[in-house]
Amino acid sequence: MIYNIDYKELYNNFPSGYFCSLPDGTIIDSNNRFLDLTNYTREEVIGKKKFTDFLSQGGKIYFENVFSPALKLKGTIEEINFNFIKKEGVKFPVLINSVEVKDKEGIHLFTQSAIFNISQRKKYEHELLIAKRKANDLSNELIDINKELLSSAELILKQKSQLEEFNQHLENKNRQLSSFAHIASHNLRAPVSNLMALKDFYKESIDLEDKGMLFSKVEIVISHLNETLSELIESVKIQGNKGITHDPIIFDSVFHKTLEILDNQILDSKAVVTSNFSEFPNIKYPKLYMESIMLNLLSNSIRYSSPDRIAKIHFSTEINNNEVMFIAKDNGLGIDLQKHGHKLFGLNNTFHRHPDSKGVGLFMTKTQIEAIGGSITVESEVDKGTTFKIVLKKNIS
Amino acid sequence: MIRKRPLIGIIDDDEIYQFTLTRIINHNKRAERVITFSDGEKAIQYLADNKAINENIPDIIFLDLNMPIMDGWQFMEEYASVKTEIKKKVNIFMWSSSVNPIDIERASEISEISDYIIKPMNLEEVKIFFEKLETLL
Repeated sequence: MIYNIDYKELYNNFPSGYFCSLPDGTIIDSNNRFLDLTNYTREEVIGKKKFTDFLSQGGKIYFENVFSPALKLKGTIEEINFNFIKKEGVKFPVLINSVEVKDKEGIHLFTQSAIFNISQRKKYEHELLIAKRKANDLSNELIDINKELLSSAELILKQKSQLEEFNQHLENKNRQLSSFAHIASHNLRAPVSNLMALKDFYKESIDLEDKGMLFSKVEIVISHLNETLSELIESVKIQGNKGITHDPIIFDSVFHKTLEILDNQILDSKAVVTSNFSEFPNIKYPKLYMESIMLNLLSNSIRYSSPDRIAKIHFSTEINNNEVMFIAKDNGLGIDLQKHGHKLFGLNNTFHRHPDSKGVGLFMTKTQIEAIGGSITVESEVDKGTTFKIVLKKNIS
Repeated sequence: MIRKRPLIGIIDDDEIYQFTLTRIINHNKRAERVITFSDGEKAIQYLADNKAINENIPDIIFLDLNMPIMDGWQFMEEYASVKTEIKKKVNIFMWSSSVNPIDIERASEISEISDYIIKPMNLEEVKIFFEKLETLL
């Protein structure tokens, strides 16, 4: 089948605008579509308008500096976006493809340009831009919400650790309180009931000598009671003294001071007391506590040394899992931990028939150590010796 | 028939308590004799030494819970092995200042312990206790 195509008709009604211009830009021909797009008549354009007459100021600058040189260089240019100005001054976006037509010698005769109206596409682009901006805003909002969530999660974690710390504190307090309840029932009830009984006897007694004897017993109980109360007050002081200053301490100098204080006991017992603090020579710790801890441990070790062998007592420091350990080791009588372990650190608990046994030292030592956040444990074998392991501080830093 | 008064043993590290309890017992003529020990180990030693001599074995023992060297629980453990060689009924009363329910529960599970009594008791309470005891023996 053969169609008779009218190319003139096709040229004029093609859905894109066409125009032909001289090298100086003067338009010498255009199709109807171009005239429709720009709202000019053929007479107003042909031979009168130049390419650049349809461009805005910015468009003209772009034309001179980019479009023209590029076209001259390659002879063709595609899909350049300009805003064309209609006769009434309204702008509309177009894409331009241009090609230079040359003669056999390569002389530039004229330029053919096709322009595509892209108003719709620009509108879509604009809508897309708006949608993209909205999406960006939403994404930013989400990022902000996420940040908020993260920071509230952080806050919750922080609160959780605070709660845990608080709980630890409460547990500590609880343990102290139950230890106080224990002390109150054992160490205070008994002397008070003794006093009551003695008072009843005293009232019933008619014999002066008997009354005197009873009163001397009352004095004994009162002095015990007084001692127990002093110890309790001391331990309350220690537990309440959270803000106690941590002094820079050299273990060696506290050790030597302790040796001087116990000089007589060491000489009498012929104990060999040694030390090695080289692994951790200094610490920040309440000086009073450190002195009291060393004094208690050393005097205990001397007091409960075995009569069958020369007493050897060794103090040292160690770092263990980032914890500062103080270790006191002796080869003395030892303690049956199976029997006495549970009350080793209690007030007024003694395990040896020794005239000096008062059962205060270890109670106070434990109270002091725990007040600083440390702990004390013991290993012992009867007639072999005892080792106290003290965690002074959980964190070296 | 005149009943023979019991031999009473007191195991307690509190010397004043030993004194007051002994005095109440003697004052009210509740015992033939009172013997005292300041801890469980001394009491076990005495029982082991006298297991063959019936008149030296206490009819009643007042046992304190918290004592140095050997406490009330440890005494009961040791006593279980000494007991088989003693040809006499011994009533053991655990007297303690501990109001801890765990201690009371534990005492009730030991068949050799006749009763658990919470210290302190005033003179009147001690007298009432002995009057009740009279009917039990």
